[in-house]
Amino acid sequence: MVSEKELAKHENQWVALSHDEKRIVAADKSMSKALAKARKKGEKHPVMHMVLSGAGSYIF
Amino acid sequence: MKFPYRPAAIGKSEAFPQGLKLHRPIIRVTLMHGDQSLDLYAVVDSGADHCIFPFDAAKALGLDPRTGKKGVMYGINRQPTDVFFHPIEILIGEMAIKVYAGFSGNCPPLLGQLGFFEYFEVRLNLQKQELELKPCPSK
Repeated sequence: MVSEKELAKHENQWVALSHDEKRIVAADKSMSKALAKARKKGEKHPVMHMVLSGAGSYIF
Repeated sequence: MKFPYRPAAIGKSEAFPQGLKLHRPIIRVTLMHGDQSLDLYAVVDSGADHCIFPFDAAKALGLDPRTGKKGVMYGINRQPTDVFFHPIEILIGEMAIKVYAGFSGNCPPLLGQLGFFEYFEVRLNLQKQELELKPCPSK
């Protein structure tokens, strides 16, 4: 599993995780771009995760 | 089905000078439409009326989000936001449910009352940092 510390480096971005969630394949502010980058790298079914900013709390 | 909460950290502020460490009920689901699918993490949000996903999730499913039926949603400051609804399926664990899901901007994925809570008995256990879902027999 990718640690929260690693994910936090991509604050305010969409992260494309490998299907087994062991690594970050791509990241971008746009989900579509992160997805496209991941697929270009051969990850057909990445798991998309929006890394929220840690600057404040959330009411979703 | 049991899912662990995900950890989160909030930076220092006047209200919380030490910052905050907390956990949120965020689970992995698969959105499906036709032969397209998308795996993503979504917040289990009992305060949301509907299941809502970003426009790009619709596009990944082969949908043009703005061709959906238009609705309006209000957030914390009561600002209206257009939301476009499409029928999709959501795979949670091994259970696929039919959901009339909303798509809007670049919002965080949310699993709300209609389309999620209506299908499951949901136990949110912050002490155990664990979320448990039991399918409702009537669904």
